[in-house]
Amino acid sequence: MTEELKNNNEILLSIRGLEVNFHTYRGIIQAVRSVSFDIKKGETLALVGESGCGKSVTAHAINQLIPMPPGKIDKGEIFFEGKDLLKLSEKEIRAYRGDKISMIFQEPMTSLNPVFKIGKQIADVFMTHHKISKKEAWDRAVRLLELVKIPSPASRANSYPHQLSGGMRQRAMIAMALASPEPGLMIADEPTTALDVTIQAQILRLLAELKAEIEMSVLLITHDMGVVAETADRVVVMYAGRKVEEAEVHDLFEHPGHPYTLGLLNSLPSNEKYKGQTRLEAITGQVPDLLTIGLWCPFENRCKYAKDICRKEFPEKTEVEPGHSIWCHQVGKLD
Amino acid sequence: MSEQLLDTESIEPIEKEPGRFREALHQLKKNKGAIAGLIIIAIFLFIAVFAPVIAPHDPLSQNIELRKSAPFTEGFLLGSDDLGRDLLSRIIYGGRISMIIGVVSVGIALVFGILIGVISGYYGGWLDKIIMRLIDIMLAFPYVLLTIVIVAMLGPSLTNAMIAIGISQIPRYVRMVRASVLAEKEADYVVAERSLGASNFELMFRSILPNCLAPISVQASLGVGEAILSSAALSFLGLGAQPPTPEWGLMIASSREFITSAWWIVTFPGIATLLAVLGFNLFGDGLRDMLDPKLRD
Amino acid sequence: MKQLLEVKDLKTHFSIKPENLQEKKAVLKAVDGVSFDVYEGEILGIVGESGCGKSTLGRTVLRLEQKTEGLVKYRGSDIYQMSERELKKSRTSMQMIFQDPYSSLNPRKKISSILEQPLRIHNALPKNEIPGKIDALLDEIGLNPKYKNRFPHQFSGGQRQRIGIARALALEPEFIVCDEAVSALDVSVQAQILNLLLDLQDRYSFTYLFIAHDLSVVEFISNRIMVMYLGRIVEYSDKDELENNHLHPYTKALFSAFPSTNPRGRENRKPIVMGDVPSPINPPSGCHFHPRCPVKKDICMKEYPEMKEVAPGHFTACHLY
Repeated sequence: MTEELKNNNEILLSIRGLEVNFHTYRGIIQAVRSVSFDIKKGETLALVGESGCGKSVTAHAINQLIPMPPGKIDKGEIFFEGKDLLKLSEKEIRAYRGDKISMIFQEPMTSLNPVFKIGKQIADVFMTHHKISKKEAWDRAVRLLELVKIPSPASRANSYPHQLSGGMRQRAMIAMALASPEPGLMIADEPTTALDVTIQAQILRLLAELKAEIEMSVLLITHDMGVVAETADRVVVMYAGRKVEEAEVHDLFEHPGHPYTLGLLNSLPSNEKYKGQTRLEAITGQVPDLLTIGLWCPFENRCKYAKDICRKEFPEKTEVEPGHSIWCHQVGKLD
Repeated sequence: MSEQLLDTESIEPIEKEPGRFREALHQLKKNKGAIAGLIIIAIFLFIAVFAPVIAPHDPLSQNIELRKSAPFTEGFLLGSDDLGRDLLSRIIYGGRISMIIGVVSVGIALVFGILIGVISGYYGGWLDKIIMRLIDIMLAFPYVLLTIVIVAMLGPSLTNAMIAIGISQIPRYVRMVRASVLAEKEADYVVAERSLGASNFELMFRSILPNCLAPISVQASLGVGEAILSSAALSFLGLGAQPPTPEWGLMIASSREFITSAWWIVTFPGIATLLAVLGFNLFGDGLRDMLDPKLRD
Repeated sequence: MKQLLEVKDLKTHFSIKPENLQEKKAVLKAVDGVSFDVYEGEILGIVGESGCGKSTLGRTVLRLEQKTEGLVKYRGSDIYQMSERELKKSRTSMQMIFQDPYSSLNPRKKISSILEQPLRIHNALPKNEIPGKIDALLDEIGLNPKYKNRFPHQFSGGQRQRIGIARALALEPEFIVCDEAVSALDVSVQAQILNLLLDLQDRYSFTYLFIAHDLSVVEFISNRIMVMYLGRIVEYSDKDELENNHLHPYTKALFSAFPSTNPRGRENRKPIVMGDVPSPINPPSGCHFHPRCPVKKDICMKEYPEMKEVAPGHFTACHLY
């Protein structure tokens, strides 16, 4: 496997059999269970699911930003450019963070330091990775602010984070993520969730434009199917710590194969099938407790297609089309 | 349509979160200091309640022949004082008085502190401004001085000492309660209950106040320790309990001249005071750690 | 249809403390001159981005926030002229469902005591009938009554929102303000709650004022939609008319910014408006939208446009029309 990955130039990041557990006094919370997927160079992969599905934990496992303890990566490998990140020392992994793997968050204030000007914060990123003068680092920071379309970047660089609006702060954070020398992978954790819809549209467009300009892959974590439809190339759907479906974005929206994916799309009031309808086809029930969850299909209790087998074991992967895989015992039996 | 309603009936509550009590118990178990404090408090409370049963002698009966007996002599476990009274019994009865002082003075401070704090925080405006300036003035006095001034006005006695300590502890509760109320009164549940037609009184005392009790309980525990200490100080100065009451501070004061000749008469009441105060402080600190989510793991 | 609520030139201003000595006392005009009617049995949606004043409007209409100017009439009587006692009585017919199912339930109260409170305050029922009513309420919103002695934190977000709805139902109101009632929920739970709200409306012919920032939710649930921007209504009409024929540039921006759930055709980029939402403390002169408006004229910077009826029941405030 390792050899194969090393030789595969297409793939930037490969997660294999990742298991993350949170060891609390109440018991073990199985946050992520045997999740595997690849991110190709230059693509945007969306990791989608509802709260508690493990999408953020999976992403944070990549640069090991999970609070440990109580979190613990119990199994799995994460290959980045052929190296297993989980085997690196804390010092080595720090070199990856913000260098080749950068991150943007839902709330920019958590990652921007409130007491420094944003220009200085971006310049500092340059200066930790390059031997350049303060002046040059500052100039580069201003150019980045221009790249992320902050109006009058030269004067904005002198602002403190709290002086910027939410949308501007998110732009500043994207600029900071881009300041790393080789932004190979950008992990965007719900980057637009806290923003208004007109601002969200601006940020999504910015990310799309940047991707066209800069060679980078994006791992987009979101709960919003609309954001997925607007930006993703491929999609991994997660539910209760498990990966349940993986597909190219058009396939996923047009031929959802897992009952959960189907239910998620049917839950959207914007779904075109609801023109003139007065009720949504909601998924009943609720997400199982991750403390006591069994080894079988986690969606079994809410699934209207569930049979006895679904309560016994977790299904094997079924590849319905090249690149479109479903983990469900009832593949093809959905109406 | 009815099918739609039936769809959602299978909903069970999430069981994953244990009750507050179990959670608190778990936090307590991890906090050694709090447990030690709790044990000390429990012992003192037990002694206070069962003083007549436990005490080997009458704390007031004098025996001039056996005065200043050393510990473990003449049937006095901790020795006797300058009037031949059993020191152990006096300390046991003193514990009872100290517990009463602690509880009563903190009780006074709590009742008025909470009342004023809730009103000040809830109504705000000019009323709040006046109350807060008055509190500032009270806080400008050193705590002990304020207590002494109040006792001096009321006249020296144990009851007045309790009142004085209670009054001087009011400001801290007012501030704390007011701050909590200010934060809580903006919460949606308060707006929700107002939209149901709840009266101001109901909102203040039945909705908001129960949510402000956590920090107050910490302060109250520390306050009991402080009240015990203050009453000892007042009695030592002659402003609190009057002889022959077996009050720890008074016992120390009336026997300080014997510190070289009969050390035990001064030392044991001192140790008792120290232990009681330590118990309440340990418990209060532990309580604060338990209630502060930032200090939890 | 019969008019239930009449709102005329309603203004809710907040005074903001100055941050430093040079600044004058600022005024935040959260709601700044809003007029509309709500008819019996309809669902009137209010959509807008953060800071547009939609939540403040919802609260001012229920007199949970003090108005600055204007008129709010419920069934013909001005709720700001009511005495405390009359207001308390009117509270039984007007209720509210909140956004955050975590903060809208008192964490120290059991579910039974949360639901009992409104019945107790208004002496709505004899004491011995209250437990039965609580069970019936929980049944109604799809929660097993055997859990009524638990505390809010023992329930999931969706369940808490159901409890919040049960509380609003307790007094058998006729008008309910839903303030972002589904925004904090996961999409699958959101769909359940939307269905529940619609079922309840069918059963009890409620009138909803449904406030949300999510255009797709408002479009789905409402009969009529009002679009708010910086304290004012910029456009309102029947849902179908608004969907097919939205005229105000801000409404257009809102519709085009809303992510489509069809990935086909995303390459044909729709125009989006740039810029930030200005602060409601110092809104732009003239039409508040002019700094972001792609089709602005000179007059837009000077005068706030009048509300005009452009089609039957379709109103918009824009100098273009």
